[in-house]
Amino acid sequence: MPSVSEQPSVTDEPAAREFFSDRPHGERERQPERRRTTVSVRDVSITYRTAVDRKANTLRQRVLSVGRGAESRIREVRALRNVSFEVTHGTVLGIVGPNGAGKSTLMRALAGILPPTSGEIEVSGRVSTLLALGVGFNANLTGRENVMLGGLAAGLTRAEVRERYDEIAAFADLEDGFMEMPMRTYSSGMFGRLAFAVAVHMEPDILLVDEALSAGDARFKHKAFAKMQELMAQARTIFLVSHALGSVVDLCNDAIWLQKGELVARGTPQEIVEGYTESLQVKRDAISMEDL
Amino acid sequence: MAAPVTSAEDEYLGEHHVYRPHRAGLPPLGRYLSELWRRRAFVRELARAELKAQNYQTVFGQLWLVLNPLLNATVYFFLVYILNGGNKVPNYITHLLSGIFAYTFFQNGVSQAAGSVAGGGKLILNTAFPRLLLPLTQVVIAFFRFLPTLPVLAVVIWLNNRSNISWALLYTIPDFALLVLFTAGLGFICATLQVYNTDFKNLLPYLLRLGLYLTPILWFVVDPTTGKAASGLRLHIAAVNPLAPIFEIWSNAIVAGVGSPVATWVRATVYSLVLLVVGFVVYVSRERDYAVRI
Repeated sequence: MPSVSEQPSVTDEPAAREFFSDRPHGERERQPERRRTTVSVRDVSITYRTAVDRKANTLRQRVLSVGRGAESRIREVRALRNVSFEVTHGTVLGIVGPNGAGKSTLMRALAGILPPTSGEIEVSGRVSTLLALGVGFNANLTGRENVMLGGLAAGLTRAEVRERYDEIAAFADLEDGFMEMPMRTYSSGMFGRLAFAVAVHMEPDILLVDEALSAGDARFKHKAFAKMQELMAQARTIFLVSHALGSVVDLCNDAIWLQKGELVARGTPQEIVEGYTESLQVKRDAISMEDL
Repeated sequence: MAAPVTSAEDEYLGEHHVYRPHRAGLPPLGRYLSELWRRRAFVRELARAELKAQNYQTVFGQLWLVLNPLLNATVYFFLVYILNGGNKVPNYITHLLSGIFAYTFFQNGVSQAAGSVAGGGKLILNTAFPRLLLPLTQVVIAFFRFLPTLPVLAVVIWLNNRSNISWALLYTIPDFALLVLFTAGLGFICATLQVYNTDFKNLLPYLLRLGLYLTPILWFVVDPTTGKAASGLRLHIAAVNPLAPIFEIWSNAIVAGVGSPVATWVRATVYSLVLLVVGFVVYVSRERDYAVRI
């Protein structure tokens, strides 16, 4: 049943799992050994079933279709197909692939937001997500209040957020007084900076980042980059989805390539990015040929 | 396409997670509830944020919260007064107003909770947390929106029913607590229904308005002025409507200043608890499907 392939296997996996489940909750000692598996994705598929007819999910439609017995047409989207891989502690994994490859779906599955349709995902550690900027933020609240709201949404306690507040504010580095202004007065770059600041200061063991490095200006990008490297140095695990292939090569020490929900390849960022751009090139050529 | 149902361990709590296929089924309850409790600060903050967006802190914002049910009550008063041509004042005014205020809480709570999941798209798609927090927050908000009507109610009681004020007024506290449970339970169910039927939100206002007429708010179960009990259809409705006992107790305590029969309390309690548990199970057993659905 499971096709455990396409990736360097970790042989001592059962032992590792046992070690983790015995670990008491709440105790966050940081083991120096970098080889332990943090995330293990085993033969995971995720299928969305969307009704072709937009009105299928309505009472009206249900009532109307009573007696006709006609099942509304359902389109299955196989966002992920039998994906398996493992990630050890301290890995910065770049995920590349074209639109609709299943990258965001994979991230949401890792965060526990989307349940897998089949397979199993095992995650050890506190997960922080930066999947969309400023989720849980309310534009009518001030920056300060949103830091609290965002932190609480991520599962911290009030005291924990307060503890981190100064650091977050310093990192976001907004112009004077903006932390006390409603966020609807922010530029999108400022919004993004604060959101990024909140996400990276949750002290996550695993950070999931989806296309968020594009927030802010060049100076902030540089800072974000430095922060990511700092997190890496602390042996945190980071998943980075990006179309900016340069940052994948620069930041990551491992990479996977998804295409149409399948794991095409895994390797060094350099290899993966090269392979991926090559495939894009081929396609582009094909299209241009067609145009002729 | 039935996915194998296995309960996932520590979905939200702790540092170790295993995610397995599931569509329905309850997560471990102890963990779920303790995680819910752990996140109470989030509910408070989210409620505060939304209240702020609704201008709750401003004078006019609060005034509107009072004015809206007050105007409703005025309309109903004239409606019933003219249709009945009765001399029901002043007990009737107190009964109507207190009932409308409480029902406004119920109505707000249920309809907002119903929309909380379908409207919580971004938050649901990008953060993992016990989804029950969303409708719960809406019930909390409805409660805060109910508070400004209390002083008005106090004035009306003082003007109309001063002689009936007694310790029985304290019965309103546990009674309102039951109403909160009832509202939450029904809100959970409606939220689930709305995820699976996007046009449920169009139907809900009619149901809630119907609920108003079927609950002893515009009419009495026992009229304190004449001592006459409702008969015929009204009596049947009062016996069947699960919301009726809560409002009976409410009116008895506020208008007549008396306690209610034990049987009424038992019915109110049982209905509220049953609805809360059913709502919880319906909602929570489905909540991991929400991210896929919306």
